Amino acid sequence: MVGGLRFHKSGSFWTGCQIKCLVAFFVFATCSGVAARPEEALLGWLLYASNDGKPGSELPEELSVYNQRLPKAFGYSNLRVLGEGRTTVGPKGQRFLIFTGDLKILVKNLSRETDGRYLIGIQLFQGELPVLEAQVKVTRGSPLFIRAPAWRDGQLVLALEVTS
Amino acid sequence: MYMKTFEQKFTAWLDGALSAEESLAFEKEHPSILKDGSDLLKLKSLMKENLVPAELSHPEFFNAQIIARIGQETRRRRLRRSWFGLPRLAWGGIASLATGVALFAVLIPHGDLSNPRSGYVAEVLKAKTADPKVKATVDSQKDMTIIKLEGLQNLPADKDLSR
Repeated sequence: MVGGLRFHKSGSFWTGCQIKCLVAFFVFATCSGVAARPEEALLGWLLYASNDGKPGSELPEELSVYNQRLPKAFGYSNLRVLGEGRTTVGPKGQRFLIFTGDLKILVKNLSRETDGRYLIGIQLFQGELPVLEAQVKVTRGSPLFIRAPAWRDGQLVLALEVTS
Repeated sequence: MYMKTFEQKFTAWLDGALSAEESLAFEKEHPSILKDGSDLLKLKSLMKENLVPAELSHPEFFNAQIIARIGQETRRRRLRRSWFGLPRLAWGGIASLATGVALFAVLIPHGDLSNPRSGYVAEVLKAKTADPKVKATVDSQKDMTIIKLEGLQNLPADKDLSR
C-alpha cells in the first residue's frame, strides 16, 4: 500500500493508464491549440470622403467593398486613405491608434466573446479632449465607421476592424 | 405416463427397448414397418459392429491440448471484456465527444469564409459623448454601421493630414 493506493501490474490497471494517457494527450493538444491561436488586433484607418476628384491612396482590401457606398453615405463621391494604424490589446492592456489631425482612439478593451464576436471598448480623442466613448460588438472582418470632424470640403471618417 | 409419439415408439422398437407386448402391439398397429424395419435392423447391427469408440494413443496429451485451448479462449474473452466493458466504452465515448467538440470550437473557423461580408456584425452597445454639444447617433445600414458625431469642430483647412 502506498498512500492508500495499491499498485499492481494487472491488465486492467495498465489499460486504464493507457486510456488516461490518451485523454491527457487530447487535453494537452486542445490546450496547445487554444494557446497557439493568433492574437487579435484592431486595425484603424483615417479616411477622407470628398468630391475633390483627387486620386487618393488605394483603399485596403478590408474596405474595398465600401469604396462607393461609404462616401455616398456622407454625400460624397470619393474616398481615400489618410492614415492607418494597428494595435493589439491584451485583456488588461490599453493601446492607442493615433492618426494625423490630432485624432486618436484609445482601445480600452478587446475581448472575444463566447459567441465568437468581439467586444471592443473605445474612446475617441480630438487632441487631448475625449469626444466619444463606445462599446461595440463586432465580428472579425466587420468594420465599424465613425463620422469624425469635417475637413476642408470633405468629411473625415474613422474605420475600425478586428483582425488577427 | 405420457403418450409416446410414433417416432419414439419406433426408435424404442428398433432398439429393442419395448416390452414383448408393446412390441407386438406396435407391429400390429403398423404392419408396414416389419418390411422396412428389417432393413433398419440390418443397418443398426452394421453400425454396432463398425462404430466402435476409437482408443486414443495419448489421451493425456489430447486432454492437455483441449485444456490449453480453453484457457486461451478464456483469456482472450477476459481481455476483450476489459477493453470493451460498458463503462469504459461510455467514458471513452464521452472523452472522444468532448475532444471533438473542443477541437471543432478551437480549430474550425466559423461563418461563411467565401464571403467575409456575409456575417457582418457591428452592433453599437453604447455611444456616449463627453461634450453635451456633440451628439452621437448610430446609423445601421446593411453591412455598414456608422457612429455619426454631430457638432464636432471642423479641423482647420490649412492642417495637413496627408500621409
